[in-house]
Amino acid sequence: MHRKDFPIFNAHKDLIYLDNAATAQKPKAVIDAMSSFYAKQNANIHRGFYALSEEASALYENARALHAKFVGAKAHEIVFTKNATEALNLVAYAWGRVNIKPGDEIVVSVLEHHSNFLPWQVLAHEKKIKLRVWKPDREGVLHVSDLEKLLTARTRMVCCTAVSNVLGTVVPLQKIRPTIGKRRIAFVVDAAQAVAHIPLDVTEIGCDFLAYSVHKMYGPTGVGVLYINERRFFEMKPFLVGGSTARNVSATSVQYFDIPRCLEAGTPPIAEVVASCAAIQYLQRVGFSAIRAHEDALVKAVYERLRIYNFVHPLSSPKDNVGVVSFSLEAMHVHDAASIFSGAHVAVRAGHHCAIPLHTFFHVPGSVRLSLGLYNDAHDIDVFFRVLDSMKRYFK
Amino acid sequence: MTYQQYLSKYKLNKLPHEHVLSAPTRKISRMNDMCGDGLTFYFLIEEGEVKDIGFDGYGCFLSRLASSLLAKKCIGKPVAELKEWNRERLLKLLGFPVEGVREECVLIPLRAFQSFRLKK
Repeated sequence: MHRKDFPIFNAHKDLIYLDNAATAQKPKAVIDAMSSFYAKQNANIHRGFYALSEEASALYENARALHAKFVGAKAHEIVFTKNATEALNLVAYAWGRVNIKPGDEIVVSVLEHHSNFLPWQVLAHEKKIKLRVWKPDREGVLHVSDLEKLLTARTRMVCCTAVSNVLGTVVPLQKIRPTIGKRRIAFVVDAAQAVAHIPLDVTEIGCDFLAYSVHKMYGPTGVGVLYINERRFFEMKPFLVGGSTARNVSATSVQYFDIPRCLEAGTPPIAEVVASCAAIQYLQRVGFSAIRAHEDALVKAVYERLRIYNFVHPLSSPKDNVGVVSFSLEAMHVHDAASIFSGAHVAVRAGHHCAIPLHTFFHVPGSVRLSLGLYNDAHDIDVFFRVLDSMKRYFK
Repeated sequence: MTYQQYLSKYKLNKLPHEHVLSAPTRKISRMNDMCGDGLTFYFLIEEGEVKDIGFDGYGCFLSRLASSLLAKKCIGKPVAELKEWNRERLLKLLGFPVEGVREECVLIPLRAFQSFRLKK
C-alpha cells in the first residue's frame, strides 16, 4: 500500500527496501514541501524584520506546535535538534550534568541503541556514578518487576527505548512511571524507533524527556525532536550556546532566552523542520491503526515463514512487534548474507545496528535485520524469501 | 570466479590457509574498525623467504577469502615481495567487484601484510 506515494520506487523499480529502521523513504508530499519552502518562503527565522522572515518563522513555529500536538505536549516543550542522538545528548548535558551528583545512579535498559546508552555511560564515568543495566528475558521482553529491583534511593534517571531497534518489540512504557514514582527520577524515552509505527502520548507515558528523529517517520533527515516536560525547565542549563540563544550578552555575563529557544543554538534546519509537518500529516492521513494492522500482518507472515529455515535464528518474536525481524545465521557472517540480499536489490541491514550490548546479551556478534515500512507489501516479502531460499545451498 | 561462486565452492567451511601455524616467526592481528571483525595472521619466515602463512579469527567470507588468496600468492616468495601488494592488485586478485564499505573487509589482510613490512 502507498508505494506510489514514494518517488524513490519510480527511480529504482526493483528496489525491495527493508531497512526502514535505519531510515524511511520520503513521500512526494515531503519532498515537495522541502522544495516549496526553498522556492517560496526561504529566509532565516526569528530575527528578520521583514515579511519573508516572519513567514518562515511562523512556519517553523507552526511545525513546533504540530509536533507538540503529535505527541500530546505543549508547543514550548518541543526542542528541535539535529537528530534523536543529539536530543538525548542534550538531555545528558543540559539536565544530567546539572542534576546528577556523585553517588547517584542511572538505570538504562540493555535494549538501547547506543544513542540512549553512551550519553549515560559517559555521564556515569564523569560523575563517578553507577550505571545499572535493566535486562530483558530471553525473548527480549523487559519486565518492570526487574526494574523495581534496580531502583534505589539514589536512582536519578531511568532511560528506556519505546521500541527496540533490533527486536522491534514495544516496551510497556506506561508501567514505568508508576514504578519509579512521581517526580524525583527523570524518565527518558528514546522514541526514534517507535515514532513511525505507534502513537505516542507523553502525558500517558509520564516521561520527562522523549526524543525521536524525523527521518525515521518519512520526513527529512537533519531534524530531531526533543520533548521536555516543562516541570524540568528550571533544572536545565543550555548545552550548545551562541546564535539565537541569548537575550542579552555583556563581556562577562549572559541572559539566555527561555526554553525552547535557548536550546536551539545557531540556524536550525528550517526547511527540514517545515517539511516535517508534511510527514506528520502523511502519517495521520494513513492512520496509525492502518499502519499497525498492515505491518503486523506482514511481520507475522515473515516470522511464520522463517520457521522452516533451520539455519536462521530470530532474536525476537512477532508479539507486540512493530515490523522488525533480526536473525543470526548458522555459521554465516551477517555481512555476507547482506551482500547476497543486495545482489537481488533487497536492502536489509547487517551488523550490530548500534546495539552492541543487546547483541552481547544474546551472545551473537551481529544480526541481519529486516525492518518494515508502510509501503512494503507481500511481494517484497516473497522476494526476500526467494533470496533466502537461494542461500540454502551454502548450508548443506 | 564471482563472490557467490566462491561461496558455493567453499560453503561455510574453512578456506585454504585458514589455520594457526604451530611455530610462526611473526604474528599480526588486524581489525576492521567498521564492523569489529578481526583476523590474526601467522607467518613462517626462513632466510628471507615466506615458508608458510596461516590465519584465523572472526571475519566475513570476503575478508577470509582475500586472506586465503593472498596467503597462497605469497607463500614461497621472498619476504620483500609482500610489500609489492596494494589495494588495486589485491582487488584484481579477487577478480570480482566489491561494493563500497565491503572493501574494508578485503583490506584486512593487506593491512596486516603492510604492517609486517613496516616492522620488519
